[in-house]
Amino acid sequence: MASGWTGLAQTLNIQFDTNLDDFAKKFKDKHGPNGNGDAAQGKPAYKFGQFVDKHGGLLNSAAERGRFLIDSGSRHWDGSINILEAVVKHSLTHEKPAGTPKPKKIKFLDILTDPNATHARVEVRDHNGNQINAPNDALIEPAENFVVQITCPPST
Amino acid sequence: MINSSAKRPQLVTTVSRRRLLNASAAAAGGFVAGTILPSPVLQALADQCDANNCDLHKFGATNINYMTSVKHQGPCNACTAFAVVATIEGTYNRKNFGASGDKGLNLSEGQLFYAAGPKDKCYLSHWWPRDALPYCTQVGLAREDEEQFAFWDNSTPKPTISNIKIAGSTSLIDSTNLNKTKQNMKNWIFQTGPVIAVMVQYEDFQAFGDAWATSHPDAENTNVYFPGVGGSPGGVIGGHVVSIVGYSDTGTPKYWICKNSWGKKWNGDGYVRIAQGSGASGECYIESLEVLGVLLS
Repeated sequence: MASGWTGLAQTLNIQFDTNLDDFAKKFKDKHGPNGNGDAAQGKPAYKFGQFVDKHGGLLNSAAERGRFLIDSGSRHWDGSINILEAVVKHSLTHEKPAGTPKPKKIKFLDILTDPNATHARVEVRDHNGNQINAPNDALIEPAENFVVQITCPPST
Repeated sequence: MINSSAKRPQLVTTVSRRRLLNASAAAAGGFVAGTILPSPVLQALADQCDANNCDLHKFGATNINYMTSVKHQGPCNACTAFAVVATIEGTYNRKNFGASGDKGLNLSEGQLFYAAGPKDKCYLSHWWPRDALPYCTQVGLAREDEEQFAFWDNSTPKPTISNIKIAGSTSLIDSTNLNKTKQNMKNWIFQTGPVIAVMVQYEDFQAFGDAWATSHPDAENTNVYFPGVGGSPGGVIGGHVVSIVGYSDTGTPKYWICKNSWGKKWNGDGYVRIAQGSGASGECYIESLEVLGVLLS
């Protein structure tokens, strides 16, 4: 697990920090204003992994992109992936005031390995360290930024 | 098992067939020069597999099938076992087809999966073919038709002296040149047998074959799959492994012919045509992740 993610956390952190505005614009261009897609314009809803793989600067080769997509696949995650997807959509489409993009930073910690895990899981916390427990958790809206910790089963 | 004897070209030995193929390929600007001039009928056979088109499960004018029947992996995440075994069987049958008394191989996917697979078994998240192949080299696989193993029998398998071992495997990927990788794959399929390939599985892949099976039961689907072929590809489910048994460079788009392990009904006949990749995003990266040919002992 996570074999395709070597070094990716650091790269993602750059995108969610110094490149955040551009990253958010590209996200909305691809997945619509709320990240939920726009069928009329042929824009797919955001699913974890399917935004990052489009950016050659993050994943340099077809093999890296493919391995990342496999690692991000739903088969390998428990239900917590839905929380991460919700937080990414919220962060990259956030506006304040309405109509003015104000995306929120997400910090990805180095990926951990759990030798007893059979599926990957993710823990998302707000700027105060409070854990986000559901995709519609009331803590998401007021959060200033987020911290993400991904834990994977060992590589086979 | 390979096809019944009724489909065998009775007068073509393995050696002469290979020479015919080589001659035909050379004439078409293909692979290796040969020396034997085939009869018109045999030329037609040879012409079915060349630098641009090849199909090891419907090979030549008489539709020789070097592949065993399509299996069903059931609810287990066991695609690696099925693709590896299918590739070993196809490679063996391609080499030995027509040899006196040889009836082809049908090996045990269950043995490979339960003896060599990762600890999570049916719920595993990753099992790459390169991690399955050493067992095939060191222990070997039993013939399923000897009824030593059934797929759902997860008892500890006992290696026997009749196990079929392979010598190893070879990667066909050129990490810096996708076109070279594709050529390596075609050369291998043409000259040696099918190849194992890992792909990214989107949600619409299974739906593609399910829809066809519903609307055209038992009919081959000649449409080519690529992620998003029917609209949105949906999310990524994970990795999947297939055995590539053929290719076409004259179709649009160019495609691979793949033996899947979701039963004979899926996609009409259990096989699926998958678009060759360009190295860009929005594809299933079937040439880029892990592509292996097996070497027989």
